[in-house]
Amino acid sequence: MASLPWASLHGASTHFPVALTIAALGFDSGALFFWRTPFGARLRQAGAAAIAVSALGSIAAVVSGLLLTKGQVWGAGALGWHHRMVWPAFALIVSAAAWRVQAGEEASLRSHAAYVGVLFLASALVGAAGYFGGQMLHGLS
Amino acid sequence: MRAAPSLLFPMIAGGLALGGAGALAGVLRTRAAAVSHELPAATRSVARPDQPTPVLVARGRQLFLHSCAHCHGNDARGDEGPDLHDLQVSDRRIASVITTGIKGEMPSFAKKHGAEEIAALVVYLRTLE
Repeated sequence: MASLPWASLHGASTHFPVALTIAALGFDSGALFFWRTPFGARLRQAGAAAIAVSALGSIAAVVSGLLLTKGQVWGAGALGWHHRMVWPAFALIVSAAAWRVQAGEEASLRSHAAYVGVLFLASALVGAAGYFGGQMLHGLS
Repeated sequence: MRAAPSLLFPMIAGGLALGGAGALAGVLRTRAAAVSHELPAATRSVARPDQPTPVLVARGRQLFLHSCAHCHGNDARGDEGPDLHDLQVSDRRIASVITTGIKGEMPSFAKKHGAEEIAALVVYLRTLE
């Protein structure tokens, strides 16, 4: 198992869900300002697609990370902080994607605004997780 | 006015995702334990009369846990990185590796830790026998 490049695979697989979560935040934030317009509907569709693919990608990222650490879910130092950010981010991304798929076009403006808040929190957490991941990889502070 | 979609399904999905990750982690830990050379949590004393101050050793251990343990293991017995006990190289060489790294294997910590911190790390590593 150690001979497989889990570190490289983890690095390769994590950037997609990070980018897609932030993209979903951008699309769905924009949709708040164009709520009743066709453009707003297209933004919501793009956001829904982005968070759905992000959730699927986050599973690959988590699996490769667990294989990399041989199942360690916390750890010390930068790894510990990485995990403190990753687990809530993972749960929020999957939950947000499930809600978005379930809600479709039925969500109210208020519900959608709350959803954007969750996306913002997930983006902040996953960004922080990436920061601590970079610390482990590059040794920079 | 539209009704808010139920939160039950998202909560279940999030819980299942975390539960699945936890279950996978458990399986991987069990498998890794069968072949790991990492010992249980350190019980050894890190203080030695002929070593620099316990404060410096403690500082080195703190730095080690923050920057090194995720690759070398909390007890420095090795994980992704090698076992760091009883190193047969000079203090200068240890400091040089921490500072410059090893291409393709270990990052440089020159920007993260200054000379004093690297010295504390070296002192701590010297306590590992």
